[in-house]
Amino acid sequence: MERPETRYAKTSDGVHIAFQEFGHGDVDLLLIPGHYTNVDAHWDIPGIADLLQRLASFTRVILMDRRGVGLSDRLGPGATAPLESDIDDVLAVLDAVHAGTTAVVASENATPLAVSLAAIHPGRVQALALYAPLPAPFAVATAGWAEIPEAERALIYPAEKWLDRLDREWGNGWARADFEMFAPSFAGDAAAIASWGRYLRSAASPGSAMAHTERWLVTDIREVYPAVQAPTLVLYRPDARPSYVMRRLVQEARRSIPDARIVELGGRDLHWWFGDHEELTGELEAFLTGTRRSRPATSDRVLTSVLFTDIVGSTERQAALGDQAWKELVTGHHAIVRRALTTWRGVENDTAGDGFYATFDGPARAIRCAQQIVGEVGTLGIEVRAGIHTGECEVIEHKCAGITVSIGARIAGRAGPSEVLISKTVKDLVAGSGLVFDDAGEHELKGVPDRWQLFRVIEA
Amino acid sequence: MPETRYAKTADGVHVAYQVVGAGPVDMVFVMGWVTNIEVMWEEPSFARLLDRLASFSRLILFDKRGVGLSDRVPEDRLPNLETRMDDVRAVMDAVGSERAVVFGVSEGGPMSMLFAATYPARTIALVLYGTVADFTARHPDYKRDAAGYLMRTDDTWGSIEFARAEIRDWGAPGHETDEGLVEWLASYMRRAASPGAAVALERMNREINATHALPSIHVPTLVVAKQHERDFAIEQVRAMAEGISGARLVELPGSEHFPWVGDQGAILDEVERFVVDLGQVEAELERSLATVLFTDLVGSTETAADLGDRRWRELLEEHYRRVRGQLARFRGEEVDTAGDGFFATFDGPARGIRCALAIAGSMGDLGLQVRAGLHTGEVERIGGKVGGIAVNIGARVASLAGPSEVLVSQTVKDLVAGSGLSFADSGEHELKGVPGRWHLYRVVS
Repeated sequence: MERPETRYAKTSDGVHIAFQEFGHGDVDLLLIPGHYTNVDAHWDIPGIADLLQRLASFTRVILMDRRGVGLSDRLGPGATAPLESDIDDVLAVLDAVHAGTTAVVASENATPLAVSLAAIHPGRVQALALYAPLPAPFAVATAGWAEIPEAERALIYPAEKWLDRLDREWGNGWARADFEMFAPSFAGDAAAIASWGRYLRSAASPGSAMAHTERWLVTDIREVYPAVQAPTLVLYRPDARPSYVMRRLVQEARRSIPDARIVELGGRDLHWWFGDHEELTGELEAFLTGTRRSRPATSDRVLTSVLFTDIVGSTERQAALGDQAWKELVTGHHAIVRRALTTWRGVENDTAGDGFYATFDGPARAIRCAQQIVGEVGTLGIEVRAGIHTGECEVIEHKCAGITVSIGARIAGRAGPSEVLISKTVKDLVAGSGLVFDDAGEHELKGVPDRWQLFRVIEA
Repeated sequence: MPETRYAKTADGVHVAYQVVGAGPVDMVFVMGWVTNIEVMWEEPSFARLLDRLASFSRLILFDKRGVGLSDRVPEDRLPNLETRMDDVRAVMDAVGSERAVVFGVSEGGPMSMLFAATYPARTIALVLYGTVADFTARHPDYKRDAAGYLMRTDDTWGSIEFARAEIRDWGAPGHETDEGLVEWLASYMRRAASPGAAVALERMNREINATHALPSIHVPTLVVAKQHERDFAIEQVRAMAEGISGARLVELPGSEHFPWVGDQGAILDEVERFVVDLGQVEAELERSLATVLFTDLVGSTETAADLGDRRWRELLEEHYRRVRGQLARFRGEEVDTAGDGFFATFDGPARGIRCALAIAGSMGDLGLQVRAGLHTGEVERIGGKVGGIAVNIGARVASLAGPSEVLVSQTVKDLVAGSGLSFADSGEHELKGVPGRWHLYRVVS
């Protein structure tokens, strides 16, 4: 097979996203191999090229480099894009190749992107396959686990050791250490190390890999699992290290994702393109062929970020100002909120009294929107409180309803003047956005079970 | 392909580099526009050019920040000429290169000119190919519609059609049907910069002008240019060469801007001749004044026979230990041990003498006697070795010393006047293999 042509899709904010499409089949397959990719460089590694060709024999494969890595427009030192801009990049590519719905296959640390995509855009994802799912870095995912075998603990902790290695040994040195730990069949294999080292260098420079790893170390999307509607296949190699940890993560994914089943593969290397492709691609083919005629999700339940705002002390202000002046003030307030909603792609669902209820497909945008509103209403001599939560919504007559909405409203009720308060779910999802938070403690939310840990957004 | 490593700049940016070859002179290859030092090696003619350069130099390749394998930067913070110079210095520091020939190609030219003008102490010489000082004054045909060219870059960067047009219009006119070259260039472009970065760089490059630096360049300079270059007029190259004092301009036939396409031998012959000649001058510059000390055990063969092997080895080891102790104390630098003797250098002759006296005086209880000789002169330091006639003289002086005697040349004696050291005349001597007669002196303590 000839190397496919690399093309670029342009996102709405003008970023060039490199992608390739190749192969034929009834199903489109978006393949997200991991953090660091280079769509051209895949084809330099025979093992990966074989795997891609095999997939291309029964699907149209879509490969891409999200912004910041590989051939796509890069970011500056220290900068990463939040998960939701990765999702924007995926959608730009899917649109460019006219893929209405697609199957998504993701490996290891690509799990957060694939799962969030499936949860936020259920209409675009008809099936999901997660290989060795990592909803969070090992060290975060295993926090609080009582028993982890000592040998596996040594592989995982301290998580920060990887940052130092990125800084000093990115490329071959990194590949050597990674194989030693997670791909024992290739430990010490100089040719494999050189070729993987080269692939890594082509996908990211040390500075960008470090920034990305810093974002990764605070990522955790396990709360999003229940919002995945697509049939999901979870694959892993039980004999690959860290086997105890991976087995538990796989069980967790199966339990939390509504329609998931597990497939065990042979081999002792964690990374998927090492070892037996035939077994892996065979399982994927059976799974994707079985789901290819399944109806895409009706998307009446989607993962949504809800924002509630309210004017602080409005009754007192109204009494003090008189009706006419108050009306003018409220008009000014509404104009500020609506301008912010337009800027940050929020959808106004409702106004209730002096407050707004809006939804967003990305939580970082919801936070930025709230910050803008809180900042700008000061010119009117008033203060606003805001609360944000992310969860599944029932779409009823084009509006979101359900417990997520109630939780969002309750969180806003807890916020002080000019404060933006968010749930832990929101905080976990916006890693890499550059937003900074303070712990605001645990709270009971009226009418909602459990206790909720909330965070205050602070100016970075 | 050499292994890629990263140097870290003062502001924390990782700059990717490679070092290849083991020639006597360092050469930094400053390739223009967008680069990827690993993909360079994938085009056979480019690899041939690099291998040839590395055959007579220690060649240093790098990707400037913002392109290739180095940390990328936001489009509004692409490196200006000053920042690029800092990146070159960071790479030179990382590979331990004090001074290097700077070889600027195309858009790498103005930066190289500025580097040579700003850091003459770190620039052995400047080589320029396919470049001019003032990029604002270029008006090549293919960029006549400047906005259209930018739009084409944004829309078709890294595609086969774009690469082919670049080769046809300016890179290597006539070679646009070389499918291997076209495909390689498309891949090279994609792996060197994303479309967004390429457009931003192109915008920035139109502003480059290093004309003001030309009068400040005082290092030997070679300018090579193709007469029918399409990226700029040969008159602009001539004006630049005239602006650099003592620059040698070589005009070659042809229109290929890419130095690896077409008759690369004609370019490389010029560069090699220039760099090899410079290398000899550089070796001169490596000469420095040093005081050399030679010591030897007196009658060691006889003593060894008396003592037996094991006892003798123990004695010898103690002798080594004591000599090294004194060398450390007097800041001498051990160069070599030869048999039972030492060869060391000092940057001050008086310290050399005091060290020799201390060594000679420290052997009494071992039943050993040491002879020592010193001379001061110019030596060459090449790869940890110290050589030159001054070294031979020092060795001969030592061989003439008697047991427990420290003998020095007249040069040493004259240099340490005022040190409080006293000397007795030892008369004139012939030194084997060294012309002239030499007046030597014995140090009296």
